[in-house]
Parts: sequence; structure tokens; C-alpha cells
Amino acid sequence: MHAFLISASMALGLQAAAAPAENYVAIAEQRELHADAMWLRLGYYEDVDDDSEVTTPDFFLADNGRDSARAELAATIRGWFSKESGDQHPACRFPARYAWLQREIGLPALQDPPRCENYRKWARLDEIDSASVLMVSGYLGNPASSFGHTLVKFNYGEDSAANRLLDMSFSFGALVPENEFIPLYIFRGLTGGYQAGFSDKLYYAYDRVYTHTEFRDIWEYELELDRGELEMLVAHMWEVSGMKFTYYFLTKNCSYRMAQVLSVATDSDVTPSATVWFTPEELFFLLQQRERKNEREYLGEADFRPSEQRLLYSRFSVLDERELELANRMIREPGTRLEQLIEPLDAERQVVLLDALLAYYQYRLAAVEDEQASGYDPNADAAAVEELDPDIRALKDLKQQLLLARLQRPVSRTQFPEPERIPPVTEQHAPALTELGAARVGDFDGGYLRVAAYYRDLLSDPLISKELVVMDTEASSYEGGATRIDSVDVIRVRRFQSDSIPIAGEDSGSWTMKFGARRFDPVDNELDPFIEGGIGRATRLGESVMMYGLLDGTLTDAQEGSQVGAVAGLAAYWPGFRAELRSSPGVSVKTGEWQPHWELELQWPVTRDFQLQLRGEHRDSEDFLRLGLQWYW
Amino acid sequence: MKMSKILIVSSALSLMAFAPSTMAREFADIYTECGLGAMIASNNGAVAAVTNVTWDLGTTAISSNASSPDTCKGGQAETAMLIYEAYPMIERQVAEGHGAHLDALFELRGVEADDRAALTAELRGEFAKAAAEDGFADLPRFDKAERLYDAMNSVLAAHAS
Repeated sequence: MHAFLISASMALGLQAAAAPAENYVAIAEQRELHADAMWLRLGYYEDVDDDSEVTTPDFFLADNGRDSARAELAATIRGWFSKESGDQHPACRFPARYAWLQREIGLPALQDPPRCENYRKWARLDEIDSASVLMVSGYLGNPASSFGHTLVKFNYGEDSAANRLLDMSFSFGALVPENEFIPLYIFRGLTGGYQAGFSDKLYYAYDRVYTHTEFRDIWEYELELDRGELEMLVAHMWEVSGMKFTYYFLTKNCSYRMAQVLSVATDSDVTPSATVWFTPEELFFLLQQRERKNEREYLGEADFRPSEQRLLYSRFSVLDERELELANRMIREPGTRLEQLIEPLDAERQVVLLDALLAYYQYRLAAVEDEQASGYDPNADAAAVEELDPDIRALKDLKQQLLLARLQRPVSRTQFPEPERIPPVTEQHAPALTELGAARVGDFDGGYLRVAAYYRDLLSDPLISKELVVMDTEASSYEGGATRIDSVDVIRVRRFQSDSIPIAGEDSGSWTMKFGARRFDPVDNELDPFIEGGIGRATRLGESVMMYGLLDGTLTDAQEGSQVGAVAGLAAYWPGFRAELRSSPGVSVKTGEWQPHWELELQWPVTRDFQLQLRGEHRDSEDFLRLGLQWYW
Repeated sequence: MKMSKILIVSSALSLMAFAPSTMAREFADIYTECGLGAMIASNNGAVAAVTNVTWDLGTTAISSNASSPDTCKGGQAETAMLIYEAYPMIERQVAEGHGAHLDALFELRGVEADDRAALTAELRGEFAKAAAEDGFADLPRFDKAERLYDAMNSVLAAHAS
């Protein structure tokens, strides 16, 4: 049904007399094809009377094509009969449009069809096997990357690590000027102050950034597309690559545009109604939902591509205790003579240790070397590179020693294990939360409602390592009292580093941050804003249990609200049960009064998106108990 | 005599026809002629870490094969770009003697799987000479990538002959 190649659409069209273009324009007009869902998708018109979301003039064949889906369709039909030759012929610039038009109104074969050499070479249709959509994990080191990213990739040849690196891949992102002031960047990103577009690169370029520089995990889902849909995807990516759109960080972002592209490829609507926000991971949940609605598959199984950091830990995992100590000594004492250090080991263990250390120093230098590489002018004065931070110079010198030592030794026979597969988001619950339940505070019974825009708490994470929650709002109503909002966590982040392999120099600190408003005085009705933060350490007690301890503080202008203290906790994650117990006593900054506080949270998953939660809390000399049903959506 | 001249001229023409595809191109030439430089966008500054931004748009000379000189097509230009872009990973994989990026390089140059182990051993030797030069550690990535590129071409040329 969808099987149209560019050559087929030109050479095998209806054998008709050379009817003028206007006949076909009239046919399209009569059928109101300009209002067809597919035409609107191809032109990025939200509705038939809306302007296109593409802002680049070259995307349009009609002078008023951006403002008029009708005019653009007419111009596209006329373009088929254009005297343009070669790659400038509209059929070569917009192969997806013509594939669709061929199906709808059967354009006649051209006497001298353009060969579209550029498109043919780029598309490699005789080599492409499939396409994938990739989920890049969130990166808490950067607010704009906290919710992750999506890529689309064309797959060629057999599925191997080497071939994947050479696959054509697409990313959608904003065009941000150099040295943009961060607050301005945030403002413009939220309000449509940037243009954005799709860039095409071979996958190794994205692999370098996401896997090896930012240490982010990637999950690759192969798309379940038939041949026609696959070719439509390729054709449409050709049309839209290099075109600009207005960028909105919360809504019309990378995942939204990827959804639009997939809607064109599959001729089915997988675009969200993103009126408030649309996070990258929601694309994958949306595709799963639409699978049920449209009765077809979109996503295959997710393959896990671990970050460079996980690969590094995997390399260190094959070191025995003595070798680990030698590695850490090398890291802690840079003046250590390398050959002397490894001399006691046999030849094979020497190369295993050197491989681990070389990986470690590449990992440490990743960000630095990335900054230095970009924009280099080979004719520039090389003196600039001499001015290196002494610590970075020391790292480079050490890495150089390791490199030379390693090159003198043979290839290792030791295999290091693949990092443990981390489940993709689609095997965890959906991102937004609604919770309804019964509550008791003191002797009063009541109920509560909780809603969060984005909820991935510590117990949502199989690794029990991070928490990111946005706009977590809770309201309650107790007998004899009014309904009121108890708390709003605008943003809550917790990051626990608890890796089991102690590598010297590795950031082992944990931190938390929370900003919002809550009722510090249980009697009055005021919500007081606050900001909280803590730093400390975490450690594993087996695979499923993590323990942490931090010093923390709360700042608020509420009476008796500000305090300094500590928090210690235990968190456990099993597939059928999760729990966290934490104690966070503090001292009031104003009164010096000791304020005990503890919380217990127990979760029982019922399905992927439903679970029971029991929470107990002791605060301000009162006990709170809540039992609720959580629905993730 | 006439046949000899024909033979000489046709041999010379044949050599000229094949020469551009077999001669190693200078790394710097590929940088300037094949759009390598255009693809390396400066990402300094506070927003550099925001990698969900795009510094360039649309199809690029080497990845798209869309509009570049004939001498930019084929394995050499693509090899140069991969070596530059993924230099830290390739350097480490050459040192270790295996890895996905190294395999991708061999893939681009059409090296059969059975030949890769031997070529890797030679490449390690060639690259070790470059890495042992004074000041190598302080070279910018461009220069290091150029040395690795030259080492690869040297090994492949020796293998071909």
C-alpha cells in the first residue's frame, strides 16, 4: 500500500496523455487534498488554516506556501511538471510529497525524469534495512538535558557495533548562539526564542557526545515499519533536514518533531497534544498507546547501549583486589612509575590493568578534549594549546605513559563483562502521577489527592540512584477541616552515587535539592516557599539495597522553618516491593530547637502503571499516615 | 613502434585513472576541501554542555555525499572524519587492539574481517612511533588525528602492495 520508490513514482505513473498540470490541481482541489491529514503532516500545518511550523522559505514551492496549505499543494503539483533539471527538480527536493501524490492522484510519468543523484546517494535505499528511534537518558548535570533526548537512526547492513557507528542519524535541537547567557538561554528556550532543526550525522558523532562525553545511556528501539513506510521515512527526512522550526523546550521539542516525522512515515497520528509539556520519554509511551489504538506495532524490543561510565566500571570489575589497589595507587599518586607498579603482574594481567587505566583516563579527559577539539584552525598558533590547566596536563601526561606502555604490549585475551542491562523507560511506569488515598493525621481521618507533572522518584529507579520530580502537588481534606494544599514541590532532585567498585578520583558524592512550598506551621493556612539541599555519601548493601547519609539544610522565611541537620536513609528495590526509610532531624536556625523527622514509604506495584503506596511520617510532633493508589500516565 | 607507443600511453592513462583513488590524501586537504572544517562547530562557552542543541543543520558534505568534490568521496574522507570525530575512542582501541570504532574504520576502507587482526598489529606499531614523538601528548586533536590517519594509510598502502 505504501510501497513507492522515487524511481517508481516517476517512471511507472499512470500512462495518461500529457494532461496539463492544472488538471491535476483541479483533481486535488475537488478532493480537498490540501486538508488531508497526510498533506498537513508533510507541510507541518497544524490545521488547514494554520501557517506551517517550518520557517525556512526553501521548504515551500509557493510564494505563500507557508501561509497556505492549499497554495503549497497546488505549487507542488505544478512542480512535478517543472522544467528544472537535476537535483533542483521539486521531485528530487520533496520525494515524500510526490510519493503521496502519486498514490492519491497518480501523476503522469515524466518524459525526462530527473535522476535525483544527491537524494539517491544520501538515501542509499538499496542498502537500508530498518530504522530505529533512540532514547537518550536524562543528564542531571544540565537542566536542558534532564529529561533525556531522542534520535532517529537508519540502519544499514548487519547489526554490529561497528556498523551502527556508520548509520545515518538525526537529532532535532535548537540553534543556540555561542556563549549564550544561561538565564537568557532558559528564557528563550521556553518562549520560542530559538530556531531549531534536524541535523544529520553518522551515528558515531552522537555516540561520542552522548555515550563517551556525557556518559548517558541509550536505548535503541527498532521501528516496526514495512518497506514502504521505511522509504517514506527516508524520503521525508531528506525533505525536512536542514529546515528550521521555532523551538519550544517544553512542547515543540525533539520528541515532538520526531513524533511528527513518524506520523508521516506511518500515515497514522502519533503526534501528542502537547499543550503544556512533552518530555522525550513520553514519545515512547505514546507510541505504545497508539499501538493499541491503531492496532499495529511501532516499537520493537529495546537494546541497551551503556554509557562510557558503565563500561569503565565493567573493565574495573575484572580486576582482583590487588590489581584494583595498584590502579588506585596510580590514580592517587601520579608520580608512580608505571612499569615498576605493574611489574609484579604476569603479562596478561598487566595488559588488563593497563586497559582499565587507559579507559579511566580517557573517561576523565573526555570533556576536556571535546572542548579543545572543536573549531580548531590548523593554521592557528599552536601556542594556545600550551596553556593547559596543570591538573589537565598531569592527566594527559599520565594517559600518554599508559598509551605508550599499552602499545608495546600485545592484545589482551581477557573479556570484560557487558554492563547489566538497565530497563528502558517503557518497562518502568509512565512519567506523570495521580494519587488518591485515605489519610490520617493525629486523630483526624481524611483523604488526599496528589498530582505530579513528572514523577520518577528514587523507588522508580531500578538502580535506586536518582530522583527527578516536577510539580508534585498534594492537597488533603480532614474531617472538620477545609480542603487545602499541603505542599508543592516545584522540583525535587536526588542523586546518589553508590557504585560498588571504589575507583580513586571518581565522584562518590551524593546530593539532593528541593524547591517548593509547604505548610511549615500545621495550624495556619499559609504555604511558605523553601529551598532545601544536602550533600553526603551513599553505599550499596547488596544489589537491591542502598544506604545514604547527608548533611542538609532548609531555607525558608516561615517562622521557625529554616533549619540545618542531616538525613540518613535506607532504600530497597525489588520488582514486587520497594521501600524507603529516612530520618532527617534538624535544628531550627531561629530557636535552636531540635526537630525530629522521619518518613517511611512502602510501594507495591500492581501493574506497570498502578501501585499501592503507604506513607508514614512523623513531623512537628504529629504523625501522618497515607494509603493511596498511584496511577502513572 | 606504434604499438609500443600505444602501450606506453595506455598504461600511463590507466595509472592516472586509478591514481586518485589509491593515493592517500592529505588529512589537512580533506579538512579544507571536504567540509570537515564546516562540520566542526565551535562549542565553547557556558552552553557548550547543552548537547541537545544543534550547531549545524542539514546535510553535510561527507555524510550526505550530496555535493563534494569527487576526491572527497570514498573511504579516505570518511575515515578522516571518523578518526577526527572519535579520536579518543579510536586511540584507545588501537592501543588495545580491538573495538567497534576500529572495526568501523576497517569497514570504511573495505578491509576484510580476516585481514583485520594482522593490520591492527601493524597499525599499532606505526601509531606507536607517532605517539612516542616528543610533544605528542600536548598536540591538539587535529594533529593527533592526522598522525593516526597517516599511520592507517601507511599500513593499508603496505598491505595493498
